[in-house]
Amino acid sequence: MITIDFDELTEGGRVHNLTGRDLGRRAREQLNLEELDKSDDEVRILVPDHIYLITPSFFIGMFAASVSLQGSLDKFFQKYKFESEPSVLRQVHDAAKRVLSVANKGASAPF
Amino acid sequence: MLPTKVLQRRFKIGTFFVVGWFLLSPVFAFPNGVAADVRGPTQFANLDERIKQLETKVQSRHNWIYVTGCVAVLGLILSIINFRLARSDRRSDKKIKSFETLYEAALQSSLERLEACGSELRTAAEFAEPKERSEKVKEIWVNDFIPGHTALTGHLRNLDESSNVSGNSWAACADNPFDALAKSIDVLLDVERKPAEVAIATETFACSLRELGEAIRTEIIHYKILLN
Repeated sequence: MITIDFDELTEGGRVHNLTGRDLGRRAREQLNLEELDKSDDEVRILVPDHIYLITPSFFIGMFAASVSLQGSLDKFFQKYKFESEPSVLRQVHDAAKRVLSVANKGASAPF
Repeated sequence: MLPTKVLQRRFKIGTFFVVGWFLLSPVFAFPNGVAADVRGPTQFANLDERIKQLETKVQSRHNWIYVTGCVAVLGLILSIINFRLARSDRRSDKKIKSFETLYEAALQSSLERLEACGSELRTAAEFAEPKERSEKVKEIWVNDFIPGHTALTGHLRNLDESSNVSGNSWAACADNPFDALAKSIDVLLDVERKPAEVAIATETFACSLRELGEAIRTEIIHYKILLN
């Protein structure tokens, strides 16, 4: 199992809210999610307690392609296992649902 | 495409013309009454002239029947279209009512809740002591604002799921202002920030909250227009 620690994205604990699609895309590149999507490995994602918020746009920038590739919430969360506060987990679930909801309506570039 | 109500009005006017034709055209076509017109006078001075006269009348009656037939078909088409428009209008009224009951009230109340939290947050941001400011802002942000925003985006997502607008996300309207809000909160939480930075972040927060409110309210109007 591969582990990703979101603490890497917090500038040493100064950032408490992960925001913005661009930042999400950069994190995707930085953490090489493209390759992880293709592999069969499960990915453990650690979200430290000092992250209070993952905005939908950040999640979309970082994980939209992964969610679309997996095709369902169950498959996505089987592969990417988030370890975080319940409130952050709910934000992640909501954003993932949004990705699928829009993608299922046939948008070429969802959201 | 013209709105349904305008189309309906036009088709109603058309229908009135058709009905008017049926009521008034016989009066002009047969001013002496139908029977009198066919029967005519019983004494003939000139038979040929009378035959010609009758032929002309028969021809004009054929014309009248032909035009009236066309008008009847047109009237039937207009009535069907008018009926269908009225039905779609009733359906869109129902959709608007269900949108108002299910989503609009929920969106408005979530937004009002966020705006109330926002003013508390602004007050907290004005604390002079950085540690106190950071703690107070954190408390409101984590306990009130974020759950409020989660509820709001939940309502928007429900709207996404129930709407048939392809490739569109109602929730997306809240993304940019909310990102700006969250960024400004990071500054307010940081105890090492200078007072000027804190002042700018507080102002940015207030502006972004206003933008968020405007974005949601605009989307509510936009959605209602689409339903209509």
